[in-house]
Amino acid sequence: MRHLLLLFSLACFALSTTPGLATDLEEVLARGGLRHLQIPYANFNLGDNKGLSHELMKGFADALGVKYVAVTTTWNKAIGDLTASPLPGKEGTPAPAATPRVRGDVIASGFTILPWREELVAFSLPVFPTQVWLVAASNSPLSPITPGAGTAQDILQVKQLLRGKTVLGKKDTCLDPCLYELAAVQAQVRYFSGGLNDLAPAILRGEADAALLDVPDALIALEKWPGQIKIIGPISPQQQMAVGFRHQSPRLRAAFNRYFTTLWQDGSYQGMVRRHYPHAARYFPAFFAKKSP
Amino acid sequence: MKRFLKRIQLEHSFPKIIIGLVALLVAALLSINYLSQQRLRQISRLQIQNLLENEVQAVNNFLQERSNDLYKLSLDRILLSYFENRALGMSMAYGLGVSLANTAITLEQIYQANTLGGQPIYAQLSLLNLQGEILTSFPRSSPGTITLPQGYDKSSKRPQLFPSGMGQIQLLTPLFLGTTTVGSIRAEISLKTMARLLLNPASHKAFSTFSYDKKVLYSSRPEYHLSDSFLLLFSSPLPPTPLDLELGLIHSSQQPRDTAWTMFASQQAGSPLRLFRFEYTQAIYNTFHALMVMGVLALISAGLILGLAALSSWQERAFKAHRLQATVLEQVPETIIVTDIDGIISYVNPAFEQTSGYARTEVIGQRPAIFRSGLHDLAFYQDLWKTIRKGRTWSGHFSSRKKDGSIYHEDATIAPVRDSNDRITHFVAVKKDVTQLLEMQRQLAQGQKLEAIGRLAAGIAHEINTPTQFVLSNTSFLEEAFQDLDTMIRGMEKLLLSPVPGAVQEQQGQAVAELQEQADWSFLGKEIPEAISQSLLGLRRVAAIVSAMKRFAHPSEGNYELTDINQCLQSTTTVARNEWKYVAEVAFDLDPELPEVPGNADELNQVFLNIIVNAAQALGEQERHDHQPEGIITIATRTAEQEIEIIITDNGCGMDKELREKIFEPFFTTKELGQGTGQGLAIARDVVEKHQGSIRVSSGLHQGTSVTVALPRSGSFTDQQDLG
Repeated sequence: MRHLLLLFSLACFALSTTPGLATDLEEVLARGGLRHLQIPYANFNLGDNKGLSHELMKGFADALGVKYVAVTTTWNKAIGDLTASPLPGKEGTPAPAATPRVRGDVIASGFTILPWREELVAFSLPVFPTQVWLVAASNSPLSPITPGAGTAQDILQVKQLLRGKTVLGKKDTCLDPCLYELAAVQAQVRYFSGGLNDLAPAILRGEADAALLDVPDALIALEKWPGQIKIIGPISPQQQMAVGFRHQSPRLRAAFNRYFTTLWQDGSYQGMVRRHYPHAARYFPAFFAKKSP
Repeated sequence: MKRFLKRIQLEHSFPKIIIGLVALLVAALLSINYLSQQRLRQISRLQIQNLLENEVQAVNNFLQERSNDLYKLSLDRILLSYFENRALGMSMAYGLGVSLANTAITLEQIYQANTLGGQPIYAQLSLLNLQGEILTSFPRSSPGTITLPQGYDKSSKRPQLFPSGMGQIQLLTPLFLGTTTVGSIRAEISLKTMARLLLNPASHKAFSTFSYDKKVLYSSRPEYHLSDSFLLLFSSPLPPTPLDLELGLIHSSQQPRDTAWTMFASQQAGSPLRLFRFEYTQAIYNTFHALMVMGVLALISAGLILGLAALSSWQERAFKAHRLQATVLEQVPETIIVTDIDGIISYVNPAFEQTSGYARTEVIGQRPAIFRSGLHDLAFYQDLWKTIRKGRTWSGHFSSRKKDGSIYHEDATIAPVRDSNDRITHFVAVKKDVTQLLEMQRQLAQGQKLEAIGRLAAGIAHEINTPTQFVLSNTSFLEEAFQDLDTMIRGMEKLLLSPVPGAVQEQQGQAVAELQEQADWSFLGKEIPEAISQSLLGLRRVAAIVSAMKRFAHPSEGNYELTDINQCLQSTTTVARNEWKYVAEVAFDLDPELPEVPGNADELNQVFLNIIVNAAQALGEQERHDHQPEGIITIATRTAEQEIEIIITDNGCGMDKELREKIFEPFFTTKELGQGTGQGLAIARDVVEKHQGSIRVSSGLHQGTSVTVALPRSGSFTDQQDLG
């Protein structure tokens, strides 16, 4: 109720002072529904209205006093579903598919902040830390690296192992090998046609020598298949996940950031993380121990 | 003169005689009292020794339970995955840290889940590497290395008990990857917590100690010191106790050195842990006590004799009543279990031992959870504990597991036991084994089902026979038709491959027409598709009957599952078709939105069959006697707020009030001998009530009959119903 009153007063303030920008949050309040674009992925969205992102956005809709509406999409279509703009792909970056109409107000599904994505969507405060790792089956001849002086050196060590090896990735996601210049080290890149959740099983079936997995998914894979997969090392520097908004929705994004800050400061968000990623706080103590997001 | 002197002597002697008698009486009473006190002390010592044995048993069971916890934990993949991932070469920065984080969470969960009396059982749980370095722990402690105790066998798969500093013990369990030991799990348990939870509170004149290998690990009264030679004296083997100790073996600043102590000791075979209890012994009499008693006894000797007599009589009655109660508890055929308020078992009777297969010593100190069958959900047990902790009595049905693993069923009543201050001190469960009764009920229901299938078999055979006959006839026709077509096709083939030289097209057409005429093609071309169509129709009909029969007769294994009642009614009606088709038409009025309800389809089919067959027989009777036009059986379903209704109505002869009141009585029948057992509706009512539903009949003479079965919707089903 506290959140609701705060946000509602913010909305009223915004409407009364800057009528020229009366889009985004006002539209959501007028429509009476927040459309959450979600992609079934790891413990962020488990499908069947469960998962960390679902809980976060349901809470946001409740705080706004509007109905929560889940809209399922795919990694390829998510940005198009948010912006409805034709989005020609740039060289070396994925090209999100455009859709004829806006289907959602926010993307929240373990959505990694990437430079090419920042041009297309506006990100909230970071909600979860991540990194892309190279993962192989435990019987693979690839050996885990010994960490060196820093992440950059570790990434280099990993890439040196990949010459002539097949690497499985997922197009248009943070696991897209083209983002990490794997072709330059003569790795044979393969695009996986299944869902992100199926990448680890594909490695266990021997569909490639290795695969890219982000940390949240790798944590689950290690838990699900103990002793069957191994982490070779990092393929990216540390990254962060956040909630995606249209550039034209600054006030909705600001409302979310305020809601999220309150949630973080009263410990509710850490409680949500504990429920869905029990080991995350121990594994990323620097991120989750902050007093404010 | 002599007589006078004698009288004087007697008068003078009388007080002496009285005093002498009173002194004798006092001495006798003092002796009796002394002997009684001595006997009471002996009894009290025996009771303390027994209490100690029970405490040691409880401690042993407690440690056995912890050992089992740790053994299970040592097989946990999450704990082992750290060592597996380490063996795969993974680093802490990339992946190995996750395994440790997962292990820490598992240790935390075990720590939080194991509480007794609201207190955590474990002081700390840790994962150690081979050298004893703490990899992770809960509650978390600063990094360090544990000195693994001498005698710790890293090749043994069982947890081993060792002391762990003053006031604590530790259980250590090796962890294996394949056959190689890779580390250990360590569980520290505070003896103070253990003593508080498992030992009876000692009075200010007593204290308890735990010792391990000649060392005192814990004392409930640290201010009392045992002399250094004490444990050496009694190190091994334990002397028979109770034992009056020599002066000076126990001393403290609060007691003079000449205080006498009695020692009680016990040790479970195979356990290194010993439990001692020391009781401060007072002399039965000192001089002051003796004078006081003599004075009082002298004054009230007569009254005391009467009082003692009365007391003795009262004590005897009380003792007899107590002995009778104990005998009753020991001899009743019902199982009796008494637990304390934390659910720790403190008493079971012989009937329990006989029913469960557990010996008394195996369960004292354990929790009733060891009997859990796995057939009840968590909410069931939560409801039970909530009820009895509120001071109310819980009654219901239990499925429990015997020592040999088999399941048995009991009707149970569990009630709180209160002390004189109305505080709940214990819970008592009185249970009756109903396994055989349930089996008999199941067999009776199965018998009914077989009877119904037998009764329907002839009708179903007839239902299948009719379409089978015309499918057979059509197939024979198709066989003959095929021969004619074969001849025709061969003739045409010949014409095509070997044309008559010089024959014109008209002649060839005539030859073809002749061949068609011979085969009667105009007839076959029309009849063959029709024969195939009829045969398919017949076979589909047989398939529908067989499918309905399969659904009807399919064993449901006695489980309650969400059941489609509309489908049950349709299958049952199809199966019973031969019972009603000559006397009635069946009209369905089924609610398409009818929700599925929890139930046993097998039993419910039986209920519907009994009602439909009764309706058909009533209509048959009416037709035979009154030559009324064909009857109608209407089968309808409705959805209400809390329940669903099944209404089966016939326009038969109906029933008067007298008959209506008897129809649910077992073995009541209006049918001729051999036509029915009179159990159909009685069983129907039992089944419906078992489903927490109701059955009611509305009927009047010549006004038809309507039977309504109401069944609760899924949401209104209570947790106490065993859903299997």
